[in-house]
Amino acid sequence: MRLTKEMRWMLPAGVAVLLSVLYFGILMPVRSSGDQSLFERGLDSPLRLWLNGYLGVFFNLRFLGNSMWLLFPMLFLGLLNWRSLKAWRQGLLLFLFVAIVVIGAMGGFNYRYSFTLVPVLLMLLVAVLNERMELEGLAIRARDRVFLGLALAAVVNLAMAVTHRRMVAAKDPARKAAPMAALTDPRRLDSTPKDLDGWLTELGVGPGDTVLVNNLPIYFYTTDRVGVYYWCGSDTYYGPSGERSWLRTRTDDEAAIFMRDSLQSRFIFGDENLNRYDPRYQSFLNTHCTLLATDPKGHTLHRLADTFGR
Amino acid sequence: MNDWLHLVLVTLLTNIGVGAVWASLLLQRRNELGLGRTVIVIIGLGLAPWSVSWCLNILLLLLPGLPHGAVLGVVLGFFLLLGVLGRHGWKELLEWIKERPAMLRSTDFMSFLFITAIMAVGALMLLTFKPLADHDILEYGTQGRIFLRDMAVHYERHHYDPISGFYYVGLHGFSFPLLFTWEGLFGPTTDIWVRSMTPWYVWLLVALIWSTMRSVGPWAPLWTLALMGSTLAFIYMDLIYHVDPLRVFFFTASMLLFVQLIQTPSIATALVLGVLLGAHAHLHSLGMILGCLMCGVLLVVNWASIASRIRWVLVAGVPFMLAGGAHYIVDMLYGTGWLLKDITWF
Repeated sequence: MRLTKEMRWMLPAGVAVLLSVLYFGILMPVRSSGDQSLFERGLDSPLRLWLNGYLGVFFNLRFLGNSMWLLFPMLFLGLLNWRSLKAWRQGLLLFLFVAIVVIGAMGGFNYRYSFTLVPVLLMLLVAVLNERMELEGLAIRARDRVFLGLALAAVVNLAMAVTHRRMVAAKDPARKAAPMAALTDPRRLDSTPKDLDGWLTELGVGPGDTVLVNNLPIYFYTTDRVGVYYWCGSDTYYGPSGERSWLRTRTDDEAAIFMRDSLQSRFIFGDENLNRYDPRYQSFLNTHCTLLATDPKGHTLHRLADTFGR
Repeated sequence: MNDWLHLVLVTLLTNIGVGAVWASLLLQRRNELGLGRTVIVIIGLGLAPWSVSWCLNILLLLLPGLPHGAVLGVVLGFFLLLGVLGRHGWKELLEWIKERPAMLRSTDFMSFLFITAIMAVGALMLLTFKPLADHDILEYGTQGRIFLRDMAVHYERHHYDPISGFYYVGLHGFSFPLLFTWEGLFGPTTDIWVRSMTPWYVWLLVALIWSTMRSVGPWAPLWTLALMGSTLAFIYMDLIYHVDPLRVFFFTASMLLFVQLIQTPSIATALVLGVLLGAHAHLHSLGMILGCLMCGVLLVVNWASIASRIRWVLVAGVPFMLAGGAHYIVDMLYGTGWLLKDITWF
């Protein structure tokens, strides 16, 4: 059976759906089995590191959709036919190639950097596909049907991506609601603690007390209190002379003394989701601190246990 | 002042007022730029918030400690004077505005208005229900309010605030934090205008894509937006307050100018390309990196004689540096060290 021209052009949409099924059905896990940060970014295996990271512009289907892979052969064919291209196309192609390599190598760990190129690449995709179909004699209506096919495939991919997020969230009670949840209930957009300053005062934190803040800049933004900015994921706290390690270079007992005497802090402000990015830190919270409160949005306040372990 | 009134006031003065000044200046050079009027107006509107942050960067660096009112007056006065240079660009702008109602008869413009209406409702929901909650923008915001408190910008090894203990880990240009500073000059109790930058620049990006893709086919804009809109990344960009909509907008606009420069080089095109690259750099380090790569590609690809290519890259390179690129040179020499420092990647 011979495929009509229009059916042939529909094939990419079919391949896109197939890729989505394979990607979400086989490749992407729904539960972390190791490093939480790498799992969140979808980089927790060598294959995923390549597909979602280095080549993420084309194959990070979770965030960038299932149309971008089409750019891979398109740019490759462009490079093969380099000499026949007009100068502006050569310039565009070379720049995009270099940008994809640089972003993939340096910023592939974060889909947001790859997304920088997406609007331009999608404009290019639609323009080139339209041009090729026109050259093959496809009428405008037929071309629109091909694009409609691609758009529907993209919607299918989006549905799978949302389902995947939900499955991940279902396996992980400490995870904060994904922004998508806000589409059905806008109140869920607000993940901030309610009256943080009042909450801290209520829990016995004096206005002059220094609080160790685990990667929650809202503390500095909404209160006039003093803090030590810390991130357990990299065990880094920040002072006047930059980054320092806190737990890695000390035993738990030494770390507690250092926190009290050198950082001059007895309180730790964090949240349930971020607290588990480092098992050592979490264990320190459990053994050397007392959980004073957890607010409805998962923010936590711990106090260093005193000499008598209270 | 009521938050919404405050939003309207700052938007009218900044996005619309300063945006109109930029649009008139660019429309004066429309023939040289070779872009449609709508694309030029969109780029003008996009340049407005960035350009006030650029002015603040210069003022707070060179004349620290000025009172809020004086800084506000100097910046707005500067753009008022700049507006005088717009001359017949204003006439073009007025004509463009007058043509809009007639476009209501075209199906594709109505489709664009429909998308705009949906986005406007989404923006209202976002601004009503979501305070500044996301991690990165809270860091930008805290630093912006430190700039506002001190009325000074410093290039220093560590951006550590001894009063609060906050440490600004960002290594990017100061443009985005300075938007908080700008809003704070009107009244330091709200951040609704900076929050509105997310939906505003997403809408400008959508409008830019729409206007550009209309030349490909009547439904090409819709297909492009459907493919982009069906990605989690785009939806998140819409729902999470961040610098991303701004930098993606500036990058996309700079790509249009990049292609235009190779096709029909002109001084105006090279200058505007340079400003867009600089604005992107002033917002984010990636802008600096991509801007340098773009200049490199302009030099390498054989689109004119090598002497011409060098000349055009220089014409674009000067505004690129002035508008934002120079920040990184100063930061490397006198500040954090930028990429030369030992970076903890997040």
